Formats: sequence, C-alpha cells, structure tokens
Amino acid sequence: MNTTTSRRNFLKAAGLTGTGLAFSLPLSGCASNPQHHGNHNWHANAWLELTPDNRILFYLHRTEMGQGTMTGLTTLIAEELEVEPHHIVVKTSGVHTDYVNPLYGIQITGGSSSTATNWIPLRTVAATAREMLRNAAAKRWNVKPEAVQIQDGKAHYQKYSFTYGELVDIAKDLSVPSVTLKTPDQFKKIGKPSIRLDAPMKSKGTARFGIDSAPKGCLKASVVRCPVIGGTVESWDANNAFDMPGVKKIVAIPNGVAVIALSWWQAKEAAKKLTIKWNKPEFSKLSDASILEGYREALKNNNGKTARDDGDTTSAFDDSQQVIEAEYRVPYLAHATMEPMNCSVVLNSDHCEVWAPTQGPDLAAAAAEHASGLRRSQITINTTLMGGGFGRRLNQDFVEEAVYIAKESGLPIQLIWSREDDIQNDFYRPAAVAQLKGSINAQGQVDALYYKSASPNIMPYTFKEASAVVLPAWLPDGMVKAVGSLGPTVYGDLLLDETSVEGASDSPYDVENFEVRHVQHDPGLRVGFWRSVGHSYNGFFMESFIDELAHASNKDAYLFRLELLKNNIKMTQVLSTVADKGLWGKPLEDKNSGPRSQGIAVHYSFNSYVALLAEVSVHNTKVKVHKITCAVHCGQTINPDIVKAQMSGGIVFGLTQAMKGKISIKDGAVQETNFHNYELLRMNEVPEIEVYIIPSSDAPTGVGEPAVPVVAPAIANAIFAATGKRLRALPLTLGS
Amino acid sequence: MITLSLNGNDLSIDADPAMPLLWVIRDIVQLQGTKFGCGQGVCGACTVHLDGIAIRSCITPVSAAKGKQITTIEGLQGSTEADEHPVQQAWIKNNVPQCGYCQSGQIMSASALLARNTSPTDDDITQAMSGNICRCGTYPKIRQAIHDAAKNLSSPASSKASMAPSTENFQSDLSS
Repeated sequence: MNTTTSRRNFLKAAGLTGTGLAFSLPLSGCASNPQHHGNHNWHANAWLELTPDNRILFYLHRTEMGQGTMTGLTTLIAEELEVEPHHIVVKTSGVHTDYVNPLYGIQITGGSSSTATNWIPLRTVAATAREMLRNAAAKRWNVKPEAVQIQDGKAHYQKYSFTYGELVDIAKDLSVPSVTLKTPDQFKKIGKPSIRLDAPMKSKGTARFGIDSAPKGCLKASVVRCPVIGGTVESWDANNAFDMPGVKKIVAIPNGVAVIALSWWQAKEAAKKLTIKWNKPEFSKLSDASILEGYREALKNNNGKTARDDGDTTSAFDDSQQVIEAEYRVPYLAHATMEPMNCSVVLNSDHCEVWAPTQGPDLAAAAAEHASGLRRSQITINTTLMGGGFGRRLNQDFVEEAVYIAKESGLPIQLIWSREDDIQNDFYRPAAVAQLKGSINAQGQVDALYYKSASPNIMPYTFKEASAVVLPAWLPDGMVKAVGSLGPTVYGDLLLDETSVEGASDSPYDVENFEVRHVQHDPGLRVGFWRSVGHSYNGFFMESFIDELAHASNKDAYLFRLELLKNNIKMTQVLSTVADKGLWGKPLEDKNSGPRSQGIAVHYSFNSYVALLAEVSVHNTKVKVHKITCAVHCGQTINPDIVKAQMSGGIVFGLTQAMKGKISIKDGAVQETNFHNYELLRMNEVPEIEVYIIPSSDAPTGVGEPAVPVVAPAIANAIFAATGKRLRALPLTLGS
Repeated sequence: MITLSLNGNDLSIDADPAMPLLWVIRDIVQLQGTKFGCGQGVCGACTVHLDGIAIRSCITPVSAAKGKQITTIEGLQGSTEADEHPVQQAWIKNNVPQCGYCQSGQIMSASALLARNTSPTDDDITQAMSGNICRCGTYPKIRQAIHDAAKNLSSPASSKASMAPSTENFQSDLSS
C-alpha cells in the first residue's frame, strides 16, 4: 500500500484533518502532554516522541479498559517502527482534537472501533517516523537511503549501526517522506500471539486504576442520592453525621449530599446518619408493570419511524400462506463494572485537575467545565486505567458530581461510589419490547419480515453530554445547555436513533419484503451504551424469531439460515464453522446431565460476523449451558489471543444477560443493589468455550462487542430444542 | 493503636477497630493493589490472606487481623521485581487479565488454593474460585493459569526460564 507524499495528505491519512499540527515539530496545540516534552526530543507527531537516549514514547489516545487496546495499538506502532512492543514506553495522551475518534467526532473509546480506526493512521505514523530515521542515517553515512536497513530498533549500513536515539537530532529536521505500509506477508508482530503489555502490572497489583489515582492529600467523598434517579435535594439535616470520626465537611450538590472524610469508610459510615428530603421526579410513579404497559401502548398507538423498508411487506402479508407473530422483550440492565465509578478533583480559582477512569476524556473535560464554571483551557483531565467500561464510562455524571463536591467544599477530593450507588445510578441498557411478524410462502420460504420495537433512545442522553464538546468553546454556557437539551426533540421527533434498531435494520438476512420500525418510548429511566448497545437485544429478538420461522417451515435451523444467507460469504463462513466444529445435529450425551440440545445464532455488528452454537441440558426448570462454540470474521487480527479473549469475555457477558440480568423498578427506584441480587456469572456457571477466528487479511473490524448479541438467542433456541418452549423474554427462565 | 503484621512488616495503625481491613490497607497503609468491589464480601476483589487463608477484607474488621499475618498482592512476590509468585507468572504467561481490576483478588484466592492443594482438579478450582467475580469473563484463562501454576509448583526447577515474560522492562505511566 502506498500512502501519499504531501504533508496535508499524511495528516489526513493519520486522522489529523482540520488541525494546524505540523508533523516533525513539537505539538504546538497539544498542551496536554507538556510534562514529557524535553527540548532535545523529537516530537514526531501527536503519538510518537523519540528521545536522544533512545526511548520511544507512544501517547496512547484510546483508553484501556480490558479490551487490549494498549497492546493492540502499541503493536501497530512496533510493527512499522521495527521494534518490540514492550520497548515502547506507553503514556496516556491528554485531551486534544488530534485524538478525536473519527467515527464519532469526539475523543471516545467505544463502538469496538479502536483497532479499526487506527489500523492505517497509526501504522502510517510509525512508518513515516521509520523512513525519516532511515533518511537521517543515510545522511550521517552519506549513502542512499535504500542502502540503510532498519531492523531491531536500529539503522544498519554494512557493519555500522545507529540507535534511533542517535538519529533523533537529524531526523527531527527532515521533510516528511512518502511511506509504503507493510503488506500482510511482511508482518512480524501483527497477527501473532504475544504477551499483553498490561498483564504484568495487572498481575502484580501495580496497575493504577481510577480508584488508585487520587493525588496525595485528597479527602474521600461519599454521596447520598435520591432513591429515584433525577430527584433533587429539598432539605437535609446532617444530624450526628458531623460528629462522626474523620468527617471534614458535608455539602449539598444538585443531586445529593456529599460527606467528605479522611477515609472513604468514614465518609460512608457518616453518610448513614444523614436525613434528606427529596423532590422526586415524575418517574417515581412508575413500576415494572406500568412500564411494560407503557411500551405496549406506545407500540399500539404509534407507527414509529421507518428504519428499513424493502419491498412491500403489507402486500406480502396479505398474500401469505402462513403468518407467524410474536412479542419479545428485554429488561433494563446495569453495566456493573468491577471498579465502581470514582473521580478525583483538585480545584482552585483558575485550574481544575481531574483524575478519572473515563471512556471520554473530552466529555469529562466538558463536564468539569460545566460544574466548575471555569474555562475549558483551565481543565486538565488525567485518564486512568479502567476496571471495566462496557459503555458505562461514556457518561460523565461521576465527574460532574466530583467537581461539584470539590467546588462546594473547597477541598481536594476523591469521590468513590459504593456498589449500591453504581447499580442504582447507572445509565441503563434500555428495556425494549418488539413485535415480530414473518410470512412463509408455499415453498416454505420466508418472503416477508416485519419488526417493530418500542424503546427509549440513547442519543438524547448522549447528545446532552457531547454537545458541550462539539459546540464551539466561545458559546456561552447557557447556549450549550440549551442546545444540549434539544436531544429529546431531535431524536424523539425528528431523527431515527440508529442505536435502537441496529441489528434489525442492518440484518444480513436476504428477505424480499423486510420492514423495520421504531417507536421512541422513554418511561424516564436514563439509558446509555451497554456492550453491543442495540445489538444486545435486537440480536435476541431477530435470531430467536428466525428460529421460530425455521421451525414453522419445518426446516433445520442451521440449513434454514444458510439458505437465507447464501449471498453473504463471511456470514456463511462463520455459520458453517460453528456447525462443523460444534458438531451441529450431534449433541453430546452426558452421563451426569442426560441429553443435550443445541441452538444456533448469527449476528452482524461492528462490521464483524459472528456465529454461535450453544449446547444445553434442561432438568425440570433448570437450564445448564455446557458448551459454546463461536466463530468470528473480524478481518486481520493484531493479536489473536486478545481477539479470542474478547470473544470469550463477550460470551460470558452475554451469558449473564441471557441467564441472570434484570433491573427491576418499583416506584421509580431500582430494586437491585449489589451482586447478591444483581448477579454476574461466576466460574461454576461458565461452560466450555471454543472460539474460532476466520483467517483474513481484510482491514480489522470490531471484537469487543460482537460476541454479546448471539449468546441469548442461541441458548433460547437450544432451550426450545430441549423443551418445545419458546422463551421470548430475558432473562431466560423456565416455569413461573 | 492496633498492631498489625502486613506483608512481613509490623505496623501500628490508628484506626477504629470496626474499620474494614480493606480500607485500612488502602486508605491508611496506602497499598492499593487490593481492590474495592462490593463492600459485602460477595465479589472477591478485596481478597487478601490472613495467616494464609483467603478472606474478604471489605467485611473483615481490622481488629480481627490482630496477631495474624496479613498478605496482600504486593506481598505475594519475592523481594525483587522479577521474583513473581508462580501464580503471577502463570497469569502473565496466559494473558489472563483484561481490565485487571478483579485479578489481585483472583490471584490471592488462587495462591491460597495452591498453598493447600498443589494439584487441584477442575472441581477444586471451581470451588475455590467461585467467590471471585470477573465481569470481563476471564474465567477460562484463570482456570488454565491455575493448572499451569500447579505444574510449575510441582517442578519448580523448569519453571523460571519458561515462564519469564517478554515484557519485563515495559514502562507505562499507568503503573506505579
């Protein structure tokens, strides 16, 4: 692959469009990394800094939350720069427009996009630096650049060699050359398993997460919030809380009362002594049953928006031989990252420094700006490692809270949420209800599919936080808030929110008449991005219903899908791989658990193709999942071991959703509190998991999320095979 | 004042006897490898050893640790940087961690298991590890790493060389 010669186009290829960044010069606009800038270093670009003492610094602009991006993106640099990944010093980048995620226009880590969006840019960045080092060496030796070999972190000519550090001084003043990226046959590191760079620190207890990142002198804060999210403090009485040991200050913030103490345990204990009267929001009138009723009413009374309209479904159903109809639904879900939300803030009159485990550092900066009243240029965000993200940390409510506490108290603080705070104050995976309808013609083929769902859109919530980042900094705060509040109008009335229908509107099934509609219905519980987002439930709806259609037409569930996907080569590959490796049609008979049954599902999301075969046994009402066989087509893998880990982890996440996950609402309050009633899968419940990667040298696609959507339907389909009972609601439970 | 023995060091701590050991370790002693996950003893992120037994430090009052040897993740390895515990070596070699937040607790539970059972079966591992939640779902790799560590504990001579991680000098500002 030949990339371009001009600086402008290099910047463009590297995702730097629209910035004034000058390659090979110190980062003029990048105030976020100054502490690492030495005068004699070569700041090749926003990502790479080379030092005369031969260190290579990589400013990692995506956040590591377990998905392996630290190792993956460093490997891309290492490959083109001809060094070992662990010889690169990884530094966290600050907030800067250079680091914006091109898919979203803000600096976020999400959407399984880090590898896919950096595949060309980061390799180009490294290859360009490599060629400049080659040219620098050629100049030192007074030979042609072609005579210089770049290998093992050095420039070689005959028996001579220079370290990169020895070339920095010359390289930094050279012009930017055109570069040719390696072809897959030249890869030495990409596609090979290697040690995760973060494995040692995470195995020795030295990895620093947000909760470990409070600067010295920070006091600890715990907040008591309204039992119904959105409630505000009407009045409060600190009673004896002030007299509790360690307590330094108690302050009210917009959504609660914060106790600040020497240790977090002291803050938490003192908070129990508070008496608070709340102004409860409208949502406090709703409970599970009335919420479900609201969804059904919404579906009945609204046509909704069109997300897909192929052929003519109305006529097809009119002429149909056999019509199958079903209602499916899923509950709200919490993310339950192992590290609870937390944030440290040191605030004074002209500067606000924040340490946050966040998936959106620029969103965090906007939240801090809003809460502190300072200007954006006065905010510094330090992004830390995250104890899980899964989309939860795209919302910055915890940053906003922490800055409010620092502002009201005048103290440096670290806010830590309890597990109860975390489960009861999430941005939840939306609950959704869907009506599905299918038509089977005389030949037993599906000739029409109709999908209509009701759910709250996520975008209005995101819009509110993101508008503060993308709107110009000179806009007054009131104007930013006004635009931010337009979200519900824009996405409720004007635009379709793709995240509500993804997985249905882009279903790969080849059906002539195919209609997808969505009704925006928001009962009022705030919602957010949850690993695989709309796919997490649309995968369950679509793949369970396809199974219903297969059975209605008396066809084998695997062959039925194969027929409907015959024009989709990649999906056919993953589907036939799991049927083959998972021994479709030949479930194992287990001495202890009796006969097993199989279920199969496919799903396309984040540009990746996934198929999954589940093997279960059922005793009375107890379902045991024995084995999962999964195949993924995700293009070129950077580190196949991490790809498998992401798929396997996504499967466990999907199993929790399928077998356990449920947030219940009573009088607007979330009823689940901790892991005893919001259970996560444990080791004793984990089946045997096999993951197969289809070999490919296509550009990489997402792997963090695509395993989640296929798990619940494959298990539901297996339960149907075992019992004849079609479970159309999650979590999957047999009996009453 | 409460006198404690933590990772082989004797310490005098000024703390409420009811204060959970977790917060004494994190907020007073300021060793942060031990993690807070649930505060109810149901997730295992806070697991440490008390006289070699894996316990949940978030529900153990510091007074209960008096006169006992407390070991945290920081005290598991030997005195040098490269002298990891065989369980830590197996964790690194198998790329077990994803987000890594639960792994200190997982490693403390696994090392307590191996201290009393050097060749655990799959059932033994399930039994010992089911109190530790991993939201990333690293369970299959945890199981594999425990089997590997058991093998290396039974033939330690061969272990060191084959287990040496290839990332030993890796540096990042995300590690302390």
